[in-house]
Amino acid sequence: MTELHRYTSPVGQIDRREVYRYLGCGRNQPDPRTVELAESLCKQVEALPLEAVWCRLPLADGYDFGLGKAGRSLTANLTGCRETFLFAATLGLAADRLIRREEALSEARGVIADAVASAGVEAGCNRLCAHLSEIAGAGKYLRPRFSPGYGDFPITVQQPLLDLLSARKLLGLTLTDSLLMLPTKSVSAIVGISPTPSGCRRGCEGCESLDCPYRI
Amino acid sequence: MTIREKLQTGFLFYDGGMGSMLQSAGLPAGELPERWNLTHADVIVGIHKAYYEAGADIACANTFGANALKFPAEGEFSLRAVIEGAINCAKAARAQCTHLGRPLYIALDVGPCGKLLKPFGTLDFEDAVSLFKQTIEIGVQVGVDLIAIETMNDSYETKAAVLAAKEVCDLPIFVTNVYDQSAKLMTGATPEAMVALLEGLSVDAVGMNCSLGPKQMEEIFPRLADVASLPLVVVPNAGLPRLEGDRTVYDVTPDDFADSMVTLAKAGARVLGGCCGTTPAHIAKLRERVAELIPVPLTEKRRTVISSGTHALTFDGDPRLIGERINPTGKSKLKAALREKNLSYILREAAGQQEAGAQALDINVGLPEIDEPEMMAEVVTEVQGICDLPLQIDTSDPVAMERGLRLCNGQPLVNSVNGKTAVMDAIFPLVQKYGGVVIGLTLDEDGIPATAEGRVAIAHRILDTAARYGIGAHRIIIDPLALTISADQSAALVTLETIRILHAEGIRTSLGLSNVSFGLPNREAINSTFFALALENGLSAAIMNPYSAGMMNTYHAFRALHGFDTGCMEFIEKSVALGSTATAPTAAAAVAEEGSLSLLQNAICKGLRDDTATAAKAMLESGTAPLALINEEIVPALDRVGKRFEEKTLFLPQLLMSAEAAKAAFDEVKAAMPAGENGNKYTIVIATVHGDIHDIGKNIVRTLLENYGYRMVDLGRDVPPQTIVDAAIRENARIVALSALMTTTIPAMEETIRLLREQAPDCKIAVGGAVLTQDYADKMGADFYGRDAMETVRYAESLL
Repeated sequence: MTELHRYTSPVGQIDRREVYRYLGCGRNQPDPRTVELAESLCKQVEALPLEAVWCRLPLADGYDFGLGKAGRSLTANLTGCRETFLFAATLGLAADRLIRREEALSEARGVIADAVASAGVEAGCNRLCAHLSEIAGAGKYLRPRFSPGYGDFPITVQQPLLDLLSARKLLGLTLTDSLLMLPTKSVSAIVGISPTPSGCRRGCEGCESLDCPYRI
Repeated sequence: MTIREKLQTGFLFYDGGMGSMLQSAGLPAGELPERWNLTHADVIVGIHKAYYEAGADIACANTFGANALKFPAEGEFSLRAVIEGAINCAKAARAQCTHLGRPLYIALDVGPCGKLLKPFGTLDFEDAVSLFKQTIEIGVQVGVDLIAIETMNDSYETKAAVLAAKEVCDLPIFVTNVYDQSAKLMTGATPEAMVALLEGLSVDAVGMNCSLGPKQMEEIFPRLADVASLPLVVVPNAGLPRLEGDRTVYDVTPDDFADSMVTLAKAGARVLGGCCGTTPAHIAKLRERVAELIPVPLTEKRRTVISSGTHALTFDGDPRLIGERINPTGKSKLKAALREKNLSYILREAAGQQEAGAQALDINVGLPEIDEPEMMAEVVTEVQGICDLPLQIDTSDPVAMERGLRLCNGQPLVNSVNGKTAVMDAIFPLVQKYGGVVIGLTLDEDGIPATAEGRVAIAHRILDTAARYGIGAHRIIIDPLALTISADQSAALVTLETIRILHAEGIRTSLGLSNVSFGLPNREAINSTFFALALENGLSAAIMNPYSAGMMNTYHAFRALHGFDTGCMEFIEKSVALGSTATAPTAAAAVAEEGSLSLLQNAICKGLRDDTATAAKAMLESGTAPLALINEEIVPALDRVGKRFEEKTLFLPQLLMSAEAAKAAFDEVKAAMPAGENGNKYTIVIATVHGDIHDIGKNIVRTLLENYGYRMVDLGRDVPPQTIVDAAIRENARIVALSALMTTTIPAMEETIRLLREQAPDCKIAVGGAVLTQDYADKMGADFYGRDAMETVRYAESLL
């Protein structure tokens, strides 16, 4: 039996280093004006609610959970897991509106707001995953979340995944014909539940895009 | 008895869930439920019959997802067949239920189309209207008793569906929206905002359905009941969904469901039913328990309220500020922006006024040489993408007015009518259809009366005429007109007296303030004092400049003095904000660092927009030639910043701040150029490709190139390949710059390149965007791949 659960919680503390990385600063601290703008925007985004729907699913042999073949990258991510969490989460149109408003005021403010909101939805998802980790229970460990479009996990999984989670109805998440999620600051993902602490590489080191401009 | 009559006198019962019943009957996950109208008609008839027998008055035909996006013309079943099938199933069930001896109705069920509307999504508002019309036209032809628009979680899409229904038929329209636990639609609208919008559109009943269980609806429902004059609909789920295997199940029992529904009926619900997970057993219990109650009487709330896509704004004593800045009268920069279709200037005014404290925005784009209806449509759409304030549609052109009212995502202010019969006859029918709170000016065929009594008489005439169109007095705000005191020193007194009389009669007033000081020095002193006097006489709203510190001070002080500002918190906050600006270090001090550069170059390097403009202006005035200013000052400064960006000692936000500063200098240069010259190097067409709606990256490239003196033709985002090609040819573009951020939109980029090579072979093609690599760019046959904005600038320069 699998329940669909709703989750709402403020984004919470945003990692400023992530904001600066999205702004193309790598590991550097940008200039004081950028920092000041980013600070004020972080405060606004940290207060936004992240709305999410999640469920817990047993993982069938071959990692086939009705969403098509997992592919090599996801299989590597899920090796050893017998269960997964699936979730969809969004900052809603409030974030899109904020970015567009800032962009109308100045382009610099626009790109900073976009970076802050990107870091914000990730921060919110980190909190959601911490919550899921508690729910997973003692002796269970979460793998890094894995989204359609990562590696060879096809982006076409997006539609069945969102359908399974009733994400359109419950969160108002829609897909464009090109499978972009709208509102834009949204995340859908699969999170492996492992019986052992994983050696899975996280973040940039775990990624195959070696020439990514955001890699640090 | 008709449905409209029944709504006035008693309860009406909807049926329960259809989708969840179909799942129980074996509908596989992923199959469109509407297919079953044709493949399993007996099952559908059975479900309707069970609901009628359980006590439903209204069966919602199985047409929730019946639209042309889900049932395209080339598909297995035609849209018409699916809808016909659905309604015929409901009719068959009704024919089998004549023994029930009560009137049974069939609703055409209209659900969301599944796409997000522009400007946040890709679906055009008018395309959404057409999509809904297609469905509703078929439904009405086959024969239904009402239109049930339901499970809408976007206020704008809700409006599109309602307009479609109104334009197709005269049947009753019931509208229910999906609220989350914080009582908001996914797109942010509150219950108060939805009631304002839907009552403006004159639907027959409003309410909520789906997503929440009955207990959770009990908490939110009173907010609807407090503000709505219309009958209210409540259609909860049987609790929250959970998956069992691949089935979705719900837990609230018929008894618990009915308990909550009794509470909801006592709180004012008139139309009650069940959504996902409810069964005939739920509806039977619901009817049994609720039918014996006496419905709460309907009451007219008579609220003066406007709304945006997120919230409602009432005119209830606390004075309101309407930002006046988007109005070309006397503003040469805005005029130029309108002529050049420079929306970014207009959007900055919108965002800036909101930041300064405006609570609604006046939108006036009237200029003799532009297509006003078209511009109104564009500005209203785009402003709603960046700003969530209610709008005031301000035009004397009824066609532009209609476009504005139609596209407004909420209940707008309508600016304006006056005592002239012809004007009222042109505008009131629009308000009847689209809703709105109307500003009525106290002038008529004979001009502006010199006395307060004369103006009050016109106000009464406007109210009487509005009433004949079914527009209540609470939906009229009178503007008693402020005339210039330099011409007539009793002018302000007459205006103030008119406000006083109207206020005493309970009539709302609004005033365009600044005209009063025309022709005088120190206008702000006159304006803000006049504002204070008008407020004291009962003014409900002012159309004003929110950037004026004097006016804002008056406003905040007035609210504090009149007990509208709890703990004077807002006054304190605003005063602190003002104080801090005064003590901020001066820009000149900040500029003083890089000594070797000119003042102008320094300001550009520092990204100081205002200082850059001032310095550029000074240099031009002291004789520097415009072209020299570009080539010897602006471009070298930008190059300096660009080089540091390339060396990674300075980052994107600073690069952009410098670019924006340079743009301010450019604007000065343009103004100083002899007519006919523009200093442009050549034309570049830029666009985000079809299917992609990311435009920040593209905008960065556009801004930088603009600053290097290229003429940029920005086609926006989600642009079809042929549109890009046509523009390249029409504009004689040297470069077409294309942006794509998703792997799924790369095919659109490839197609665009293919068409360009065919039809505009002389054009160079530059591509960029997060998913692209040099490899990809080569494979697609692009001439250049730009990893960042500066690289693209360097490429453009290399073609000179």
